[in-house]
Amino acid sequence: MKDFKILIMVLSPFLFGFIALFLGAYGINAKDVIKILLNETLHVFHIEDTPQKAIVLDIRLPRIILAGLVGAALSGSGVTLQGIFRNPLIDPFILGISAGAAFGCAICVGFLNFIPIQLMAFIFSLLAVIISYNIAKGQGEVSRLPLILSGVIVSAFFTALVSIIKFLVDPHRLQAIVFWLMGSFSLSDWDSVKIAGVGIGLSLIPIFFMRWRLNVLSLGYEEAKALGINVKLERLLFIGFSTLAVSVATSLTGIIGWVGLMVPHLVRMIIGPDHRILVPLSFFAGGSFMIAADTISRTLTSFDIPVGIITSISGAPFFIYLLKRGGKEVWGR
Amino acid sequence: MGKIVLRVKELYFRHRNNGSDILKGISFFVSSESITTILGPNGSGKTTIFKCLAGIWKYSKGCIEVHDKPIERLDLRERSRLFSLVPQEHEPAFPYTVFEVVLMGRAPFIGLFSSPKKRDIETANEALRLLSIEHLRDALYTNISGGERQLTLIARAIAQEAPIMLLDEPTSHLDLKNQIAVLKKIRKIAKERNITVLMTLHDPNLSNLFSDKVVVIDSGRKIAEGRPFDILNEELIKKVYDLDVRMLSLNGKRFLAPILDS
Repeated sequence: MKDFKILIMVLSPFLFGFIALFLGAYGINAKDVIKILLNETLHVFHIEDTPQKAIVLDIRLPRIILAGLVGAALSGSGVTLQGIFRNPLIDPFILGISAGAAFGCAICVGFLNFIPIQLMAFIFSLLAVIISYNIAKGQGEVSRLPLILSGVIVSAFFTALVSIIKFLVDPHRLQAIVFWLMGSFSLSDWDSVKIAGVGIGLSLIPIFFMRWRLNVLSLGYEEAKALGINVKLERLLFIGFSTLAVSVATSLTGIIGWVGLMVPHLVRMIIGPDHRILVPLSFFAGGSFMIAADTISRTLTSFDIPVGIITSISGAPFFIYLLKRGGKEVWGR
Repeated sequence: MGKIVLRVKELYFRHRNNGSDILKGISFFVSSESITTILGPNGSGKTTIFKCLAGIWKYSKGCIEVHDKPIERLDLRERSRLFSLVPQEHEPAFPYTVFEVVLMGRAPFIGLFSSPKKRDIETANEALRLLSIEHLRDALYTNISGGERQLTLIARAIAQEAPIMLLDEPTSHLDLKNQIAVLKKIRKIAKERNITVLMTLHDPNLSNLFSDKVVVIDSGRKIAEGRPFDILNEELIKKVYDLDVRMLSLNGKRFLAPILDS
C-alpha cells in the first residue's frame, strides 16, 4: 500500500504534465497534440512548423516543466526548513525568503539591470532568512512561535522595501514588477527552464543526499549535537541550499506562496515524517501540485490568472485548518 | 570493577552571559563496566555535567579524560563515538516510528551526504531486540508509554555503540514499576555489552540498589564519592538535602526512610 502511494506520487507530475499539454486557451485538438509529440520524439510524422506546434513545444511544454521545477523547489525547501527548525508551520514564504528574493529582483528590474537577477535574489533572500533565524534564536534552540513572528517581521520589512522601489521606479517597469510579484508562469520559455534546471538542480540534489540528517536535526539542537552532528554548520548548509532553490524560483516566476507549507504537510500526512522518503516525495508532489495549479490558472478563465493568487487562495484556509486541528501536534512544546 | 575509563578533573562551567559558576571544580572517576550514579538536589549541576561530557556545552576550566586521554580536542562526531546520551523522554517535533528513532543513533557513523546502510539498519534492529521492544518497531514514538519511550532512547544509545552511556534521569517520568523495569534493563545490558554507565537519579534508594558507585554533588561541588554502602547515610542526606532520614536494613540492603515528624 505504501509502495503504491509512493509510486502514485512519483508519477503524478509526469501524468499531470502530460495532461496539461492538451489544455490551454488556444484550442488544439488532442490528435494534433499527439502528432506533434510523436513527431518530436520518434520522427514518425512530418509536420510543418505551424503555430500549433510552436504553442505545444515552445509555450506549453517549457511552462509545464518550469512549473514542475519551481513546485519542487518551493516544496523541497519547505520540507527542509520545517525539518531543521522542527517547525511544521513554516515555509520559505513565512520566513521572509520569498520577500527577500522579491526585493533583490525588484532592485534588478528597477535599477540595476546589469547584475544577474538570480544573484541579487539569492543574496537578499539569504539575508532575510538569516535575520529571521537570528531574531528567533535562543540558546541554540529556535522556538516555534518566535520564528514565525520574526519571519513576519522580516517579510513585512522587505515587502516595504519593494514598495519603495515600486514608488520610485518608472511606470513601464512598475507594471512589470507588479505583475511579476503576483507570481506567474506566463513568461516561461526554454531559457527560464535552463536557468531553473541548473539552479534548482544544484540546490535540490545536495538536499536529496543529505536528507537523512533532517531526521536527526529535527530532534533539536542538543540531541543532534549529542549524536555527533555539527548542528550550526549543517543548519547553514540546508538553509543555503533551500534559499538558493527559492531565490532561483522567485527570480523566474515571482512570489508563489504557501506551496512550501502545504505540500510537505500533505505528503507527511500520507507517508510519515521520515525524511528519507518525505524529501524526494515532496519534490515530486510539489511539482505536480504546481503543474495542476498553473493549469487551472491558465484555463479557468480566458485570462491567465497569476498562479500565486490560486496558491494563496488554497493556502490560507489550509493554514487555518492546521491551526484549528493543531494543538500539540502543530505547536509541540 | 575494572580500570578507570572516565576521569573528570576540576571541571568548571558557567553560562556565557550569566555570571556565577554552575560547576565549581567537580572531580570524579568512573571505572569500566560499572554503573555510577550522580546524586544531588535539583539545580546541583547533574545535567550540566552530562552536557559537558557529551560536548553540548563547553566547560570553562578543567579536563575530561577517557582511557587516560584528554578529549578536549575531539570534535562532536568523535565524542559521540565515546559517549551516548540518553535524554529524558520527550515529544519529538514529528511522529517518527520507534525504529526511525533508534536508527538515528547511527548518526556518528553516517557521512554528510549519506543515509543509513544495511549494517546500520541491522545494528538498530539488534538494539531493539536487546531492549525487547521489537514489537514496537513500527509503532509511533509519540503514541507509546513513557517507559517504552525511555527504552527506545536507550536502544538508540545502544545503536550508537559508544563505550560510555550517559542517562539523564532515566526514571524521572516513570511510575514505580517502570522505574524498576528500566533500571534492571540498564543493569542487564551494561553487563551484556560491557558498557560503562553513568546516570543521574533522584532517589538515593534506587542508586543504592542499582549502582556500584555514587557521586554526590551539591551546588556544583562534589560532596562525596564512593560505594553506596559506604557513603549513603543519615548525615549525608541531612547535609545535602536538609532532610531527616532513618537508615533501615533489609536483606543486607540499606534503605533511607524520611522521618516526617522530628
